[in-house]
Amino acid sequence: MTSNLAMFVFIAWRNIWRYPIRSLLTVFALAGGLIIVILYSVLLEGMTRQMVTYATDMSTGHLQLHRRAFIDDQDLYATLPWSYLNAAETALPAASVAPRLYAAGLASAQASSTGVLIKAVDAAREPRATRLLDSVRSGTAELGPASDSTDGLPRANVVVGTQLAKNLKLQVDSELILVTQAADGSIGNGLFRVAAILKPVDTAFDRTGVLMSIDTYQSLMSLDSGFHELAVKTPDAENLGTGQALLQQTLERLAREQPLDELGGAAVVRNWREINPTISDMLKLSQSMVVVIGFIVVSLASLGMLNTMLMAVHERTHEFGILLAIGMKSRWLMVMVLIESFLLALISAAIGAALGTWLGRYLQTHGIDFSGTMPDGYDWAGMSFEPVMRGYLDPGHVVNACLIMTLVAMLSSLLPSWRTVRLKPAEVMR
Amino acid sequence: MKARHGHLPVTVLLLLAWRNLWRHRRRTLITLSSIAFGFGLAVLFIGLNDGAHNSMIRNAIKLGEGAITVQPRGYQEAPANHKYLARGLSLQTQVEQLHIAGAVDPRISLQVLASTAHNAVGAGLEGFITDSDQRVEMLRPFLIEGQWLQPGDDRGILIGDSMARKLKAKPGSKVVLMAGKRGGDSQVHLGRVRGIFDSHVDDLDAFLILGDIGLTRRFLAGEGADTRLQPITRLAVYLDDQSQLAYWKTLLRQAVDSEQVQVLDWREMMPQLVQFIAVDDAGNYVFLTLILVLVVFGIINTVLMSVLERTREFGLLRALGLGRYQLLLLVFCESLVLSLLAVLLGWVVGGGTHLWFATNGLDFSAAIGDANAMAGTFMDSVVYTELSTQRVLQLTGIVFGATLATGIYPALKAARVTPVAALRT
Amino acid sequence: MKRDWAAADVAATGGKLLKLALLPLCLLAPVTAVALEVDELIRHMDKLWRGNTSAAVMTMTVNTRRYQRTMTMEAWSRGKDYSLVVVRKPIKDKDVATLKVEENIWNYLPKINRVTKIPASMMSGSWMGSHFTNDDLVKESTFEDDYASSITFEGERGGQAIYEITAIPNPDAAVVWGKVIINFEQTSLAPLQALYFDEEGLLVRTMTFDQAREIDGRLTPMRMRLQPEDKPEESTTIIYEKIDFDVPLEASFFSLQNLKRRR
Repeated sequence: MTSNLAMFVFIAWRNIWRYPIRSLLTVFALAGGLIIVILYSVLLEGMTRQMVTYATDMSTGHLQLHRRAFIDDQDLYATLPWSYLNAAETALPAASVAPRLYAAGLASAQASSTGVLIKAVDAAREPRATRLLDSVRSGTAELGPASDSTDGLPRANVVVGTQLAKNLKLQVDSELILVTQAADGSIGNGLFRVAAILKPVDTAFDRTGVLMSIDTYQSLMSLDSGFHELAVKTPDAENLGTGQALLQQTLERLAREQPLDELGGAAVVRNWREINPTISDMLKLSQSMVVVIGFIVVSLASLGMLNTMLMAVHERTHEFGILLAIGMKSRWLMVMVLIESFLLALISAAIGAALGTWLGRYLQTHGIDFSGTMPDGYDWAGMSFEPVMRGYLDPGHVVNACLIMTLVAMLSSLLPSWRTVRLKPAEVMR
Repeated sequence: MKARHGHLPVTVLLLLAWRNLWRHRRRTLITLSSIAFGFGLAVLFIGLNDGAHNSMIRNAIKLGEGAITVQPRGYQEAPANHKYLARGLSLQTQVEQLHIAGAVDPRISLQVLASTAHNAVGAGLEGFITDSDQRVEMLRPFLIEGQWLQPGDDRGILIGDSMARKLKAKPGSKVVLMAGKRGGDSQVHLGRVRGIFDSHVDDLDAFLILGDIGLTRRFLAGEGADTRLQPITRLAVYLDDQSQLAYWKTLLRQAVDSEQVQVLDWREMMPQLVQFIAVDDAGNYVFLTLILVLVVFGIINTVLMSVLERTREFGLLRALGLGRYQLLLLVFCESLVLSLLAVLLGWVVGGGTHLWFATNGLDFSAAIGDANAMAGTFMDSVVYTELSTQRVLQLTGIVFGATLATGIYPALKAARVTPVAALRT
Repeated sequence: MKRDWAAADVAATGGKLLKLALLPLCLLAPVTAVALEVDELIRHMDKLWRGNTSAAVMTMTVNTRRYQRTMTMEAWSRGKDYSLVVVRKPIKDKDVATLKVEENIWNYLPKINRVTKIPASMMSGSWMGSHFTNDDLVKESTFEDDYASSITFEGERGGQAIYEITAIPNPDAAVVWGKVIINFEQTSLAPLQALYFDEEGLLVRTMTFDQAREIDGRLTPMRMRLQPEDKPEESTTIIYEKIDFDVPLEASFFSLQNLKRRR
């Protein structure tokens, strides 16, 4: 049987090259379908990953740590002690963490004033965890002390969102007054200099966000008991569960060693999906669309393959008739056709995977650029995206696509050949 | 050669091509069915996409400020309570004299602080005519408690369910509305909750307060407006026929555009939505291209293969005295007829698919749940496919062109066949 | 997590605490169609702390779950429309000043040497970290237009002979309360309590008055305590150390220039 099989493979190989053009056309069709399926998965995977990246890298991080009362009511006093920062860094040595503080305030500049969200970040840690400080539209994102005001009063640097800058008519170097209720009940107030204006990252921040250093925040708010939020960027974005569990354990240990006050509630670790359910829902929606569109693409590609194989076998009806007439068993004929298809599929897979990978790589590095029509990028679910659609090549998807292609090719050659071998040789040859 | 044989009449050529196609019936049917299937999918895909987008746009326009908006110049860049159109009545009369096919709704928008004995929240107060405004039919079904506003009830307000929770308000409750004035002063008026709505758009439910235009006009009077002139923030113009947008916009511009008054269409009012759709379209075009490439691929393959298999036949024809040029024409005619058939069948399948989904719709509610709100509007959970004339022409063009183009190479190839070479086998 | 906090929301959370006048000066005479006695009582109460003009030194103690804060302040007033308060202690907040003219409030902040106006969106925010809101300061100007008052009880309650006045907001008045009840001691006419209810009749906050002392022939309570009902452990207490009536004060005293100058 083995020798038979070897012989069949040999005959099949010879058969393929007896009609080089037809075979090449078939390979062309199969590889083409394969490439399209690969490109499709590259683009979709890229879009999904881009969304995840935006949901996490821009400002949220993969995991976040808060007190319960801060999550529920943005309670100013629901801080976590600074020792928790070190504990988190020790528990997750490979991760980057960034502490943040928040407060609501009133910003005034010249004639107008508006309610703002004050956000304090650690200028050294923040860039390692998120790209928040990278997306500068104008100026330089420096936080900390600034030059004195014209009447000789000390000022600190702040960074503001684009829409807020527009609403308050702020430019880089403009002066800003912040008034708020400090943690000790006094009126927190200070003079600030706009050091930079940020590109839209998330819509809410863009409209109301004022970014400052933690030192500046502490003196403005008279609040130095700790931080409100810890954003964690883990090296393994796919597998957040372990990091989350590890952090939770650390928190439980810390809570036993050094209990938190009751009012602020327990410390809570959440991943970005829990923090941002809208985005998470969006991803689920787009994933269900992926299935629908993926079905369309795969079925179209399969149809092309089916078509090609149907034709290829159909054109050879005459030849099969002769073979059957000279006594070839129909079973063997089927095996031969299948082996031929398999070999063709292998060749196509090799070519298609190579070309598809190459094109996918291109999409991964260069992407599809829409900045001509949308220089500011676009908003989706409160996030602002860059106007570049980038692919992502997942080798697993390439393998899957090859498998689907081979399967479809063999199935579609089975159909016509089965029909042919059931005919009487005489009928076939007529 | 040409001189010797003369020209074959086009009718004969077409007839020959037709018969040739049906001599290889199975091959033709396979090709046609694959085109029709792909085409049907493409029509469905595009139709769904356009349907979803159009439903978002329609909802955005209905929930928003109309297809065309007349408002104070500079309001769009930096909205403020003190920016209003003092002569609302005369402006509305002016606009109504254009006899726009649609509706014109006067509205007032204000930023306010809404407070009860228990809490206070920032809110957007929208004043409109509570029985005739286009928003009414959109929002009234969302009412979950209490009554809709009676015309002329200049105390009544409607609030969203999440705001109601925060303020601990229910129908009948007082809500004190405080608005900032030019120069930083503030003014207060009392509103009474008549009803509570739940639109499922988070921003609306937490932020929007609806009131009679009379209530909001008190605030404008506080800004120094003369209420006899019926001051407003804007006129929202709704069109029965969206395709007339450019025409009416031009007309409105000519009629009312001035240093104080600006005429904007929904694209200018909602740049975020336009962007969202542009991006979504761009993404979908990429996928559509992939689908079309696949369809074309299938066609090229079948046609090429059929020509290759027919070398012998072409040789015979040539030996019988058919000129190169005529053979080329013949094969090309076959492609032409095939293309026509493909488009025809494609539209039968695609059009049928479209008709089915245009009447029955495709229910996405299971897949999207509550995540249908985006870019300040929402997508209906049942999407009906939509197909514009432009799209029909576009698709027909692409498939017809692609099928025809794939016929060129085989035709050239056939023309090159020499009688001897072909008959050698 | 939702980050879209309007300043107002947070201000409101900080001082969710309900509105009442900074000084209980809000209870002014309703002019129309009320029994003479009500009229008199309210006029009496109005005069208790203000007279035509007044100058006072007071200590405000704020107790919250999060902080305790004591401030010494100097306050001047002229009629119901003008008042100026300057913080003297603690050192950190020295010279912080609040000026109220009609319905407008400005703060002077010495640290940045700027005067800022309280915008509409911050009106429900806490005043100086207390349980009073900025709006409470403003509301006293419109009290007489906003409420209709009547005597609803006269007799003995809790061992004291009292008058009970119920003030119901006019239907269109921009007032959040459902009703306000004020109790007076019958003989001295010294106020004892002011109770603030929401529309459902639920008590939201209570103001109590005691330590009455005779000033210019009137028994004036020198201590008042504001208690939000949903936070029993919190309160704001104001104690007058000194109060003088009918001191010469012109309207020009209550100006933005003076606000900045009076350090």
